[in-house]
Amino acid sequence: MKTLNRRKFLKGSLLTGATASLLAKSKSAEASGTFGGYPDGMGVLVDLTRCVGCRSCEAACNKEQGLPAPALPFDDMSVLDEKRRTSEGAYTVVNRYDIPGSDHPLFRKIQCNHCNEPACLTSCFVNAYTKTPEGAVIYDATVCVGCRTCMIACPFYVPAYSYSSVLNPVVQKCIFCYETRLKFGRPPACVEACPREVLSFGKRRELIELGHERIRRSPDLYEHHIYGEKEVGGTAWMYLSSAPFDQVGFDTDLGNQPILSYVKEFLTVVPMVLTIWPALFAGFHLLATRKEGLKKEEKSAE
Amino acid sequence: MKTYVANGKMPLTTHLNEEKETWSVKDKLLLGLSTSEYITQAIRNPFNWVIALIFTVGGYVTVTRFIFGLGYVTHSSYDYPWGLFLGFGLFVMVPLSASGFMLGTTVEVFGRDDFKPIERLALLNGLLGYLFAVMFLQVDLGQPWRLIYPMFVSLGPAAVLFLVAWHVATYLSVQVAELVPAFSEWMGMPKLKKIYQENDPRPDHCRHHTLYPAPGCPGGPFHLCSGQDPSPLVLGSVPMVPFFCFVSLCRPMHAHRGKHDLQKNHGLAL
Repeated sequence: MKTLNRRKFLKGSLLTGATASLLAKSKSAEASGTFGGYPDGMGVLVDLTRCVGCRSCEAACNKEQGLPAPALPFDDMSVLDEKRRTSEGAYTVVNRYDIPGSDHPLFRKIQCNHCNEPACLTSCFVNAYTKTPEGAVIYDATVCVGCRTCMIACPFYVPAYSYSSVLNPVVQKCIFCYETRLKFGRPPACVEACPREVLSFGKRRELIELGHERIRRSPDLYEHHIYGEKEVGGTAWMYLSSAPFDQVGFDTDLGNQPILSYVKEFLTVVPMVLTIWPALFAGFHLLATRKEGLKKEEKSAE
Repeated sequence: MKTYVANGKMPLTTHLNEEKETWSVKDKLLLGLSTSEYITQAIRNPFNWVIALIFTVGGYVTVTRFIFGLGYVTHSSYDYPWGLFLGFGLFVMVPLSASGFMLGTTVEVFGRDDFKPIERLALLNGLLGYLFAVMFLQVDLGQPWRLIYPMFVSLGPAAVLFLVAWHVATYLSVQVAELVPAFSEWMGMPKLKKIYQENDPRPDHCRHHTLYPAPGCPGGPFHLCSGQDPSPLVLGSVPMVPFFCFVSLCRPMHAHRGKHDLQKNHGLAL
């Protein structure tokens, strides 16, 4: 009889636990919502139709950030023959994409996109990243432990790591020239250096209007989409292109949810587990050892 | 064992040697053998050769990492910052700690005292497994001397890794606490054991079981926050993770029930 009771109790507690977890999860997930970015955050609109791949932005970034001189000079266009990514020596790179059916290639500048809800920031367990009200995602090297979760989390594969350093390896990425320019309301070095006005600097919400205006004015030229307006919760750097975005190296499968939303549900369950389980297992322990207690009592009574 | 007995070595159950003195630490570490005898018996076991090889490679990697940097010992890149090196440490070491967890639950929570004789062995195995997983992580971290930063210096509570870091730190402390009685007996410090027993260890065990599933759980969320196409299977399973962990926790209990029923219904002595 006792066995039956215990089994019933376990079944009941399992069901209650599962129900509670589902209820708790849905409520908190609704309540948390998304951040959506600072209202007056700055951004840059990159118009790929104007870029000629001159690499002036790369050179300006290198100088502004005091990065080491590259193996090949910035006017050497042979580097465009291969697809490059950002690295510890280059916070921005330009790649060339040959578009099928088009007589000219497109060039795409890659750098940190400065997400509204950055995956690097929310995945960092020492809070080394900050999204400033100006729109930049900056990084504090003095607290970084070097776990490199931000590199795993970044949907754009932007952060690089100085693996070669023994005592002070750090994450390196574009910081929107925050310390030297953005903080004072000035555009980043790459924007100023661009001779073709590929890069438009301004308030993010105004840039979205500008982008849509350009698409409206030349509907045949542009893809009817601003990459970064909604992707992973919106980014400060956004792109216009004349070719489908997947042909210019963009990941078009990222979705519009910030990366954090994928772990929010899981994280909201944790406090519940920590609250319920100790009591539950103390209960199991008491049930499991009840017979022994009774036996001891009987013995002492004898 | 036969070889030991043939050489006149017998297992002991006493805290005092023939001269009625307590055993020295050297006696305890070398199991009462002389240094040369100890080395001879260690070399005789082929399994130790494998261990020695692992130690040699591991020692080399650990030392060179702090001389030439991470780039020298890992093939991690910008695109794949976590590689085989980290994977080996985690997936080989952490499962070892399952033994301590399983036996701890079986004996302390579900009251199966018949497993008590092997509980300590399992707890020690668990502690060592977890400890070495942490050491492995330390070697793979860029700046391991900042390990306490997520605890005290700069906190990022929205991160899955924050949860993991706190879990590992707490769980490791619980594992150490659980081995206090064994350690105090080994060292001949009965007072230490008394202090531990006076402060009931049971809440420790409860915490133990609450915490254990945490390192396993973030597997899903890590995959999710990696920005790569999360499969519907993984997405769907995330809210179920605590449930799965709960089921795995109840495993010792099921084992108990099965044996109990078999004995009752079929008169089987298992």
